Amino acid sequence: MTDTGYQFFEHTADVGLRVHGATLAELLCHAAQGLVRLLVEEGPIGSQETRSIELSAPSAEVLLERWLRELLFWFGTDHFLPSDYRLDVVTDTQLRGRIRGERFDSSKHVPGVEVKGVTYHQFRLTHTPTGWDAELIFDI
Amino acid sequence: MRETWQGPLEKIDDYRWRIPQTYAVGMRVPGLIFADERLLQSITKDQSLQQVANVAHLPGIQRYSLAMPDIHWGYGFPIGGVAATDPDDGGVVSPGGVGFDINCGVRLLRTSLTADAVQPKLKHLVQTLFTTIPCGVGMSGDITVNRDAHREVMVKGAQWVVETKGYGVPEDLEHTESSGALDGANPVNVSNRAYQRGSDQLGTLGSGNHFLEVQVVDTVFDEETASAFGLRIGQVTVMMHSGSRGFGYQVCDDYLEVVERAMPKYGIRVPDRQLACVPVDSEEGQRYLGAMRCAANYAWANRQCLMHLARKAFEKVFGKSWQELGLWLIYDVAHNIAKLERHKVPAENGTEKRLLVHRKGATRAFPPGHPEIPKVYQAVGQPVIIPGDMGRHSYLLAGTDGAMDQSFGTVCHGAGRMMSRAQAVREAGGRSIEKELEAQGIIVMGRGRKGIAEEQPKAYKDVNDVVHVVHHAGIAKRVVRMRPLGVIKG
Repeated sequence: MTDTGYQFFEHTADVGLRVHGATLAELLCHAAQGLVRLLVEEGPIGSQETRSIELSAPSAEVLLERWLRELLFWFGTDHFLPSDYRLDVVTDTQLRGRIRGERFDSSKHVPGVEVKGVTYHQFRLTHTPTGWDAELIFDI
Repeated sequence: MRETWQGPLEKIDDYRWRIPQTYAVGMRVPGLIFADERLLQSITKDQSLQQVANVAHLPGIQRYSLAMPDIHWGYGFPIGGVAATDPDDGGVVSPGGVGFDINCGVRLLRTSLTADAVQPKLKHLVQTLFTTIPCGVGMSGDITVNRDAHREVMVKGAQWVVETKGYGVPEDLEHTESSGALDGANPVNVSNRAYQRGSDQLGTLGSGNHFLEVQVVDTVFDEETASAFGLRIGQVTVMMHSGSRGFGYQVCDDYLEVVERAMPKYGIRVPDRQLACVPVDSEEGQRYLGAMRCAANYAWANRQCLMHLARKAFEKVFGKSWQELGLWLIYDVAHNIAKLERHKVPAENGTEKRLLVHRKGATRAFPPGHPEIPKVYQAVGQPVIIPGDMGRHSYLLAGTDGAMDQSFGTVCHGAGRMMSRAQAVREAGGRSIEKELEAQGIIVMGRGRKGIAEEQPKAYKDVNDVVHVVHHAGIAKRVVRMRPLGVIKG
């Protein structure tokens, strides 16, 4: 694992993401950072806009899926890119916090690839003695 | 993660291979792969054949879990996978068997221009297409729809674009699979989130492997059929590849959860979560199909808008109307879709049954005389559009009776990826793929820096090899081959 807490792994047509976090909250942040790196290849992402988020799910796996899907929905509707994550409450089944970021700006962001969705294929989230590990594949 | 296939593979003949039903407990049918020995070398390098075996577990699947020669590792279904299920035999619908990009597909236009006439203006033409057509990550379209209009798009598809926006002519609809609108689309089954994601995406290309390409016919294999498709050697064509954009992605997203949650109720177990499925005639299955058809219709509307924008770009560059330039639609095909169709089932003594055919990276290929293809193509069969990579070729094929006998009227959808995106970037090693292609006479424009390297020709199998297999297996016949002149990518 790199010091960013996430790394990509290879898939024939799509992109795999491997994520680690000392806590579930940290893993969620690292997964989001990996997603943003796919959407935007280069360019600083500002933090002038703040959004609230509140999610619940029957399990930590579904919470991670819903978190990434929510961020994809934000990007898909008004091109919002998160850069700063204040997750106040994170349990295995609940997440509450504030996300800062800005909207995609083609004058400073080099576009990456469009992420169509978070697939269930080989999706894995495990709680280990050193924290949390996840693997998932994005449809590109 | 790229595990080589270690399972059994029985050679039937030079173009057909079987994964026996005994390979895994729970397989309801064998796997059937259309490929030759050369293509198998790359096919066996990833997990796609395991995915063929996994699909064979779906309740109600008929005859075979099929794979086309462009097959590669997908998620749940392989890309290039086909499964037909019988609703009267507990057959299921699987949103993963259609994928996120519902009705991703391809359309092909002919022109009355020759390559010689286009060449002096090629760079200007590609630039004009690039600035006219929104493409790439983070781009919205100018064609926005409010909620009422959106609902109409979901039901009427490309017809809404022609009738309400005046983009195109009724003849375009006759030359589109299912006339550009599936019956049974039900906007009630579409979430507010999907409405939101689809409000500004009509007439946008997307990114990844989506593209618009200006091409020239370089080989004619079948003069009579080519003539019926309005094509001859040296003629310029325009091909575009896109789908239902964020609207379709959200529909898939919504129903993956619905369907997975409902599975225990029907006692269904599958070897991969992404194969989550429910009976076709269940409440959840019908809701998904109603929403999926809305997204399919949205995709046809999107490609109709893209074609309109392309026609405008040609008008601007050549100073003539698109009609004068002969920019007529040859055909538009879906390659990610599930459709109810009638097919003969040998186990039922060859009688026709209503089956739900999932095509995940596979193209419908109906033969001459089939009632669902346009009158003008009745004598020659359905045009089947097979895009290749941006440096080699693309094909126009025609449907055959062989596809009805062997593959539920289905054939391949493209060249099929061979390298991962990261591997393709590594292979490029910082070389400018744009410059290399320009040296071959192909002008490429794209938005991202890595995007063109990821999509470079070497990342794909050679479409000539793929088409060789489907032609000789008899599931489509070669009509015309095109080579690229100019490409725009997201």
